[in-house]
Amino acid sequence: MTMVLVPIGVQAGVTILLLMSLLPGLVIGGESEKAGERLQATTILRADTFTPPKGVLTVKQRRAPALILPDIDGDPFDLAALKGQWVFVHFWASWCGPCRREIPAIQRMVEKFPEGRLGMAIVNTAEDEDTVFTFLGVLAPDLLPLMDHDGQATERWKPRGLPSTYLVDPSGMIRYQVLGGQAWDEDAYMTFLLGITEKR
Amino acid sequence: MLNQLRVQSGIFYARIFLTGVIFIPACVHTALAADTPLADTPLSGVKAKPGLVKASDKPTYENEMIRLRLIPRTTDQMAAFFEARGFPDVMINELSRYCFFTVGIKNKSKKVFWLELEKWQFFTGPLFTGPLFKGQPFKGQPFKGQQRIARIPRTQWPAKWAQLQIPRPAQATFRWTLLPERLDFQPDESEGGNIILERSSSPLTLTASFAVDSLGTSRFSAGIAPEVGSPGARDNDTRREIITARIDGLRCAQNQESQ
Repeated sequence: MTMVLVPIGVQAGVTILLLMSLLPGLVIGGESEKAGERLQATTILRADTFTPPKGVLTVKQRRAPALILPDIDGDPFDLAALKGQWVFVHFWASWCGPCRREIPAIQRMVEKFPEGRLGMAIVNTAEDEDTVFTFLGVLAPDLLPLMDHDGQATERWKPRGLPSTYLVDPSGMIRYQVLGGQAWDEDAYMTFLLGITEKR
Repeated sequence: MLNQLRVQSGIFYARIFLTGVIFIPACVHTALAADTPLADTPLSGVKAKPGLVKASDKPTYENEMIRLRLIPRTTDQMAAFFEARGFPDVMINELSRYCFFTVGIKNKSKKVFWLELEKWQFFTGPLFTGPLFKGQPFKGQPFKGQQRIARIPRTQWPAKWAQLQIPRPAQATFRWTLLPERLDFQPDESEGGNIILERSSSPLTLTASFAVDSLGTSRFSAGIAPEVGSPGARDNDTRREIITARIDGLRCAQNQESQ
């Protein structure tokens, strides 16, 4: 075994060099994480700079309840998986008159919206697949509804009535609650939604 | 016997007198408080005369802040709705024992007011009220012989449905068709739902109190509201204004063949 004696000063220098070589990576990693947080913070802060249109209320922030449901095809959906983007959470039923009027406007809004910018959770309350399929097939064939078969997930959100919409921010907080049905594809609502979801 | 008759006729004439002096001005007040549509718009093809709140198929109370409308539903209408939603027969049979009204409420103002169904009262026949009650919480009492008709609140249904082993989806849908027991009506908000009463063949009078939120819409912008739909600090707010709406001439709707 050969021992190489290196003067203490040289050892310290090598250690510093090694540390410095690691530093850029650490810094870049840290910057990247911080940038992500900053982006999210910026997006959330931006929400405060937009005046909500008629019927959209700014509410005291609270964490969105869990929303884990199958979609109409039986595939699982978890709201938590959409963290990092704004989510449009909507509760409806085919028997409710205002829902019938609002659902086509939601479909048109989705068609106009840049892809991947707004998460959608369109929750049917306590109806079966046949009813939902028939209803949406006519009014909004491109929406993929989530099935709250026994209505319990809807209960946890405590909506004011049906239809009911919440806008959940990228950190999973409810920021806006919407009264009744709205014309989501109209300019005032599109501008607002595009504004709060814009990433800079 | 004669004395008894005299006493009774005395009460009868006293009622006519009071009705003439106080009840009609109360009606005038109600009608005057209402927006023009109620007084002037024909309902069921009959033009309402100023000073009268007419019975119609969509009885309405309306003033500058609130529009309250009740639509009576027949047993057949309700059964058809529930059948189409796949409700079990046992549930439909149970519901057919009751009297249904679909209620629509609109906040026409920029203030917030509260719906509190526990403050709604239904009586058979007209009530003794007067202009002195203007702006005060309702304290009218029924005449002798008039009856208070019970409303079945939403808290009473789950036990009934559990006993009848009603599936949860039907229970959930039923719940969502009911008017909320308590709700803050935001500016321009419209909400509706059914209320369910014990069945009565008599004409009914509704008195409904709404508390106007003295903090108005600022509760939201200031982040004071703990949660939309919660009464929050309102219960302790003694400055609140009360709107008392009254609708006469309501009737539980009968199926066509039983009329």
